[in-house]
Amino acid sequence: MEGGRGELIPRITWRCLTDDLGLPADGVDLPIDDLANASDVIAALRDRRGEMGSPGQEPIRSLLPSWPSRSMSVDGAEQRGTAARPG
Amino acid sequence: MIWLLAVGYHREGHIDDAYAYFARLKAAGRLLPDREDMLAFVRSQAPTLARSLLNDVPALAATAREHPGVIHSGTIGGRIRARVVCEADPAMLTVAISQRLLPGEMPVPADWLVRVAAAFLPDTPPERLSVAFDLAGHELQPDEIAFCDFVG
Repeated sequence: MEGGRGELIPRITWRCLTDDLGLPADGVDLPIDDLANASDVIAALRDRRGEMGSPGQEPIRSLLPSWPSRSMSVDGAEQRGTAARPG
Repeated sequence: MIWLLAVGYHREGHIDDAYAYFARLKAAGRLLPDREDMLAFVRSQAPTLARSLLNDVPALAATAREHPGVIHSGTIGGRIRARVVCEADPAMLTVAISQRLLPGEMPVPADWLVRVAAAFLPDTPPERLSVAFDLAGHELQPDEIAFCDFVG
């Protein structure tokens, strides 16, 4: 999937991919749709990437004052990711 | 671009709470994307660049040749800024290519730079690309490198 005009391109750091999600490191080169099949969190990132600021995504200003960062709750798991985009 | 930086379970007050985990990662300098992440992003954009080289660059070069002396600007694959001008009698095409990859401050990979230049000057073998020091008499931007050749 590609980011079009005005659309955020979703990416996952390799550290997050391997350490937090337990996926292989070479997954960093896979398309987001392939990764989304392996992780509900990545699927949520893909599906919500255009919804920054929507209810349920709390800003984490104290964590990353120089980058807009927000938490993202994934239904049912109480699992939270932190996502950021360059400001 | 939006990055997924870390994932954890939210357990309010627990030592392994997600927010505490995120803060520890930040303190250790392991939260933000690193060089490997940016290189992976560059690799992911290569197909987009290839399409743009085939479609956008010839169109930009043709426009420049139709309007001699006028500098035309474009962004190749949404990542590399380029300016091109064609001077008349004899016809010489000069292309100035930004060495900074958009978005951010990453340098354009060297092989991408040559491919962009070769796309603007398809009849010039890469070993015969001449470096230009201005763009039809106009100064180059600090991040630009320019190439030129006569065109038929």
